[in-house]
Amino acid sequence: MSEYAIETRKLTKMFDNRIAVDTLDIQIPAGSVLGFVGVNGAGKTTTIRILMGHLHPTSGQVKTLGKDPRRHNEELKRRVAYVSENMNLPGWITPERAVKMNTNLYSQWDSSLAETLLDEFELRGTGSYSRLSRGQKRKICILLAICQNAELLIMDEPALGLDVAARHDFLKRILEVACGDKRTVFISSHLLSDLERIVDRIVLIDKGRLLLQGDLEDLKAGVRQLHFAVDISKEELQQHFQVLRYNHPAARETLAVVLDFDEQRLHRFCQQNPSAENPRVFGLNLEDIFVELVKNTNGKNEERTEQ
Amino acid sequence: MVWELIKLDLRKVLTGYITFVLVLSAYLLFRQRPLESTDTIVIAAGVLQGLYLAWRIFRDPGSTQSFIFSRPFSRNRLFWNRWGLGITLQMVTLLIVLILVASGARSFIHKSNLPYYPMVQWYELSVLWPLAIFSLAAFQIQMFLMLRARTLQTASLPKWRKVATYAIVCFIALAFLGGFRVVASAVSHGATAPAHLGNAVLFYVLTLTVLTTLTSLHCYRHIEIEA
Repeated sequence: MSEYAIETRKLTKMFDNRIAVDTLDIQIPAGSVLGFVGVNGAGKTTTIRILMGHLHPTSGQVKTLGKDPRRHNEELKRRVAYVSENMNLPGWITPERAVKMNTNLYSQWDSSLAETLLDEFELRGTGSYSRLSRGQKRKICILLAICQNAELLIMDEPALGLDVAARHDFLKRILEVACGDKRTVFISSHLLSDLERIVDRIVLIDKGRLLLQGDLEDLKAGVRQLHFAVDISKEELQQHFQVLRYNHPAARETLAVVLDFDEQRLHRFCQQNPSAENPRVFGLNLEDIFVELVKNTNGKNEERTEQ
Repeated sequence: MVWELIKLDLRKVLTGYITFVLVLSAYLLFRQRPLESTDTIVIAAGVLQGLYLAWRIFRDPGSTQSFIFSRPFSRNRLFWNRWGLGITLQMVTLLIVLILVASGARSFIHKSNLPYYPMVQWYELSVLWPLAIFSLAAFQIQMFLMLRARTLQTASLPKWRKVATYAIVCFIALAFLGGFRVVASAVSHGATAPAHLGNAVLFYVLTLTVLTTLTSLHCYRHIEIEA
């Protein structure tokens, strides 16, 4: 197994004259559970389709499990399980028939897990695929991907259309897959609260460009909201921190979100700015971090509210 | 051969195909005049069969494309399986027609209406030629046009690739026209059946088949799955 399950170097994809993915460099170590996050139109689905060999990059390199997805198409499809955002099975196929078909296609197929999931997801005897609800359709796609026992599981908005209980079951299964077999899981989703529960790494992209990639815990430890009961200038803060957001919610109050927080740095800042003693420090959840990063990139956090 | 893939494709095409074969068989059995190689209905049926098979086999309805193209088949294997299925079904049609005519079913049905001699029965086998040739040509052209269109629809295709694809299309079109000229010339010189379905036609259809198959394969390798 190569060091990285997924690796892209200066990956670029253009549609006509519009750049969908812009010189994207990502490295995802084998065995990690990765959340791939971005706003609508950020280039997530395009990137995933390139990883699967469905789209061809305009320039740059891409390696999925150490192989070029265009050259090793058939081999990679055996080793990679994929659930796309709009994936549909043929309308006539029943869940049981789909499972049987996949049993014949994949040598490493987990039949006992498939039988368990058919019951757990209540898919037995539901009739042909075209008659299933949206949630049931997602469930069968997820079932097929999980039971493939692939080295790499790529899922594009897998929980779309699932109710809360089904999402809970799905997350539980993903954790079992990731923890049990040390497989790589790559999930693109807008449900950041779900992602936060299962991923250990995160890649954030916006407008096709990489915003940030790394360990989720490191990211959460670094991004903090600081609340000072005094007026502090942005320049003073920037001498010590990388400031994502800066404003004044009230008179003689300063609120800042910083990217590279640590206790020692804050201690040094307070020593140099005695008036700023005892600031309140808040952690942010993944959703808040994502919003702060995207807004910062788009220049929306430069506001200064004077009251 | 991937049996699971064949089953998926067969399922798409089977209802229409069986209906077609039943209607064609009924026509062949109940047509009162002896069958011959210039039978317009048989020629039209051949074209219809080719168009239908290519359209159904090579089109993945809805968003099934991403499902099909993420199963463990290479593009090459996917293409050859589908092409092979189309050709096989056309051969099955020919086999059915051959059995219907050679078994004497027609002469049995029409013996009270026509002076049906054994020679007529064997002469009627010439109906296989137009059915085979027009079906194959229609299948190949429909397949090629569908796949070429899908390649060119790709918004991300670089300009030079579009130009190259158009150049290939022009070359094939010229080959078609050149072949057609040869065939038309053979027919206009008063050749009779089966002479006018002789070497020129065979050469034309074989060239058409080889060129459209190879260019379709090339297109299939470069299709982008956007669903």
